[in-house]
Amino acid sequence: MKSLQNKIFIFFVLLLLIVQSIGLWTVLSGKQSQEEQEIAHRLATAKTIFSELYNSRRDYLTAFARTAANDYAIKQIFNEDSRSLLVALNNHRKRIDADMVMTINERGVVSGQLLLLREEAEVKVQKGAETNSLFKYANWLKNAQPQAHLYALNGALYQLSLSPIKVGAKVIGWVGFGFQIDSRFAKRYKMITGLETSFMLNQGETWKMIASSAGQQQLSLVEQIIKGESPEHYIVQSQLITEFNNAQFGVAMYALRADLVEVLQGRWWQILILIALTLVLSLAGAYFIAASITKPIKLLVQQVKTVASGDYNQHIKHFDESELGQLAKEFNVMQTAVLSREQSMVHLANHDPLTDLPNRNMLMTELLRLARSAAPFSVYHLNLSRLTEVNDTLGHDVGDKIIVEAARRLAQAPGFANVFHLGADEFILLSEVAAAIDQQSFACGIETALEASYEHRNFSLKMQCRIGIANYPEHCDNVQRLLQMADTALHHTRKKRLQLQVYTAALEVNSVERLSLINDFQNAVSGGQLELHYQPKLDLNSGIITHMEALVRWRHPAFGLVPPDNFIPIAEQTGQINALTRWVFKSALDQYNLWLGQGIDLNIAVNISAQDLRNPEFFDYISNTLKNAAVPAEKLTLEVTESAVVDDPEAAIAVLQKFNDLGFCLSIDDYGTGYSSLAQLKQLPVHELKIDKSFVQKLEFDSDDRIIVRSTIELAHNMGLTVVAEGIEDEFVLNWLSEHGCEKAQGYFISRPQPVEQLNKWLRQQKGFSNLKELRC
Amino acid sequence: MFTNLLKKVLLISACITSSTINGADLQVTVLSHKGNPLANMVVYALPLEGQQLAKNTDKLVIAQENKTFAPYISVAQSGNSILFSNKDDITHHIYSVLGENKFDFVIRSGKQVRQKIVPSAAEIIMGCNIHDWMSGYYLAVDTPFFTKTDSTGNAELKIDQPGKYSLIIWHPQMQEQSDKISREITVTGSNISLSIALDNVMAQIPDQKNSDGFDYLSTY
Repeated sequence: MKSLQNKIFIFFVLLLLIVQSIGLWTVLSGKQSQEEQEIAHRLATAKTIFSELYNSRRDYLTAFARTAANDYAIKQIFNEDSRSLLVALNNHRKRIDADMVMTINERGVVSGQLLLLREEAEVKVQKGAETNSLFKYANWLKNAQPQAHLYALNGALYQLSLSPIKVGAKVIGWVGFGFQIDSRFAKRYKMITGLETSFMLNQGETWKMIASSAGQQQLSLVEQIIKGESPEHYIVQSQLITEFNNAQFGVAMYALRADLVEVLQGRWWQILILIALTLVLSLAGAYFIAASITKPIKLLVQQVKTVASGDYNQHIKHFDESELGQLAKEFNVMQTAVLSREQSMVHLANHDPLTDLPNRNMLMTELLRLARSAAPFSVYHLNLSRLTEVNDTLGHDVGDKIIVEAARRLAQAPGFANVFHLGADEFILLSEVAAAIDQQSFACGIETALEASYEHRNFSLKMQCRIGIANYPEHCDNVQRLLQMADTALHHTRKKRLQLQVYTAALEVNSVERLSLINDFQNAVSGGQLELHYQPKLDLNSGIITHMEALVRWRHPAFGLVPPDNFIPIAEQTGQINALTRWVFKSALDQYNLWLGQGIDLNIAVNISAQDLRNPEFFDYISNTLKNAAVPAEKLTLEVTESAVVDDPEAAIAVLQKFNDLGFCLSIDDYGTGYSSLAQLKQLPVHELKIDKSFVQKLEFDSDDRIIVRSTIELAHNMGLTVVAEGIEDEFVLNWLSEHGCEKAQGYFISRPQPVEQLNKWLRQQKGFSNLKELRC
Repeated sequence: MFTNLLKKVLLISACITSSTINGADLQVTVLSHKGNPLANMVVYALPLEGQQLAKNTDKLVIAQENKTFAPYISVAQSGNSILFSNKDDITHHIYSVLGENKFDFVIRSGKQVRQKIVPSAAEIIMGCNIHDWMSGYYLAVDTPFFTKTDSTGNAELKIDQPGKYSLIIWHPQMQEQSDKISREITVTGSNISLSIALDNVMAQIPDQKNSDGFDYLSTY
């Protein structure tokens, strides 16, 4: 409810209410006094009107009396013919409709008097009662000037104007005309002022009503008013005239206050209705203004909401050049910026920054889309080989260039709808064809695409890859799991050094076991589940077995024999490699002494991991154990992988030097896979190089491998090292190595790693061991 | 009141030397109640003992001049006629409406009108019906001995017949009964000189002017 419109509206309403209230308050507070003023004004006006009316009658009479007094005809007959005089006077009277006319002669006697009597509809002129009697107010006649008086006669009251009749300066008599102060006068007055009017006369003790405009004669009320009192519920005005002899003439003007107030009240209602009306109109206006102000804002808000909900294609319409129009413009600018930023963010989120190929996010989206369409498809999980080596030798920028180049080439490989880059050297290709034959040709297509060597400066780099394939829905209809399957297949290619592996359930075993292995390995050392197998090394000069390599095996209570590739990494990751190595070393010493007791003197090689080298207590343990077992150090070989030395060469060299000083034979294991430099090799206090089996296995068919092995042997010999080759799987290799000066050979062609029991049987058949009668474990 | 006046007169009379029987000059000074001399007061003596007096037959002329009666007060012996003479360049309508001697007539500019004889003593009050402010008095007396006081308030009568007379002083504005006061005097032979002061204040003497103060006709 706190919308802008409401706020504006409420503001206007409050403003209007305040203004109206102030206005109303002012008007109301003025009302009472205004009423009083109105009444006072009215009463004052009434009094003025009365005076005016009264005086004008008087002046009219006086003027007429003067005129009549100057009438020569009247003068001529004034003292002569009273009948003619009366007729003439009546004629004059009729002209102004006077109620009374009289003449007074020089002696002060009323010589003629006519009164008009109004009785209902009939009007009569009668001879006045004072005819021929002395005029009551002789003193009036002393001043020979026209004059006006109130004159009471027979209970009636007259305004009388007398004017002297003169002959030259001589006053020969008076003529007077009078208007009666009667109800006609009262009614006429009421008609003008709206006030009831009563006339009273007091000729002694009591007030007597003379005439009134009111039907009912409220004697006491009128008397009160004339006495100057203000009866309740009335507005009153009075006038007292005391200008004639011993008598008082009172005029009372009055009205019920309620009657007047009612008239005023009517006006009040008009004002109130007017106020209410303007209020309603103002409120409507305020609402309209509020709505018109906020309408564009609402429109803007609505449009902004649409945009905010993600519909960036919706542009806000520009209203005009007002502030809101500018705001709308700015919104659009912002929206465009946000849109482009969001697009780039979405792109970044969905694409690999290096290759700009869609990444895992897009992959999942695409997989889900394909899965929904229910058509079969294949996931190719591709891994570029040897990229780590390139990174390490030529630098990451070169590695990155190779990745970019590979991405470019993969995108052009036939048969694939999409190429995704999961990062580093891993790609996913999707094919909507799942037939086995096609997969083979597609894989060839990939190989062909990558085949051309990449030229970097003077290097020709070959791109090779391994591919793991999983099919939908053949293998799984869960895309997440499908990816794992392709990954599993890829892993298998690494393990088996294959180019291509299509997923089969058989591949899955190791992976499934892995988790429980991690768990169970904690009990392996203490639980006596480990055992040592030994693989013989053949001295190629003598053709006699002179050395053994001790290889640890884990006999898992549930899974049986677990190969070292599966649990050595676990031991390394869980920090148990030291314990493992110690156990192996101790067991190897025991076996040495055992064999020695049986007349067999074989040098035993033990594998030392990088972690062992880093352990500060390791050297002391080895030297102590060796001392305790009373085995000469030269009867033991410590095999250290090339990579273990590469990680931290100085520390490794220091430790190895100490072992060397004790007399151990030191050997670099897996030589050729760790990219150790010749400089490092030169510094290492070792006696032997062990060429990795990957160079040896395909020696017969691979000329490159032959070059590597031959040059390695030469290098080693030049540096004063002996050479051991492992991975001998056929006679050709054995002979070739022998021809090329390799000192020792190890491999399946000679013997698999075997438990001591079996090995002992095998040893008896070997050259140099046939004289051994019996060998015990 | 009257005796009081008489005392005054007697007091004054004591200073006067007695006159001859055959004729005497009567010198009267009329004073206001404050002692100021009053002019234009009519003074006449009515014989009280049936003295045979010669008739004064002077024809009195009352002029209408500057829209006034000139003089304001005229006095003559009864039995004479009055001659009105309009000296104005305007018409007058002279009238008298009281008593036995009623008349009215229109008198054109420059004309004269002889009015009928006033047979006996009378006070004729005259006005002009056209000019209301005009006011004139004609007093007809039954004696040849009449005059008006001059500006010093003095009047002189030559009374040639001795005897008792009623000396009357009259003026229309005199606030007395019938506008006059009278003294009985006895004419012997010696000159009589007396001064008469009025008891009451005189009324305003009309100045015979248009009270409008606008004499439109003079500029017409």
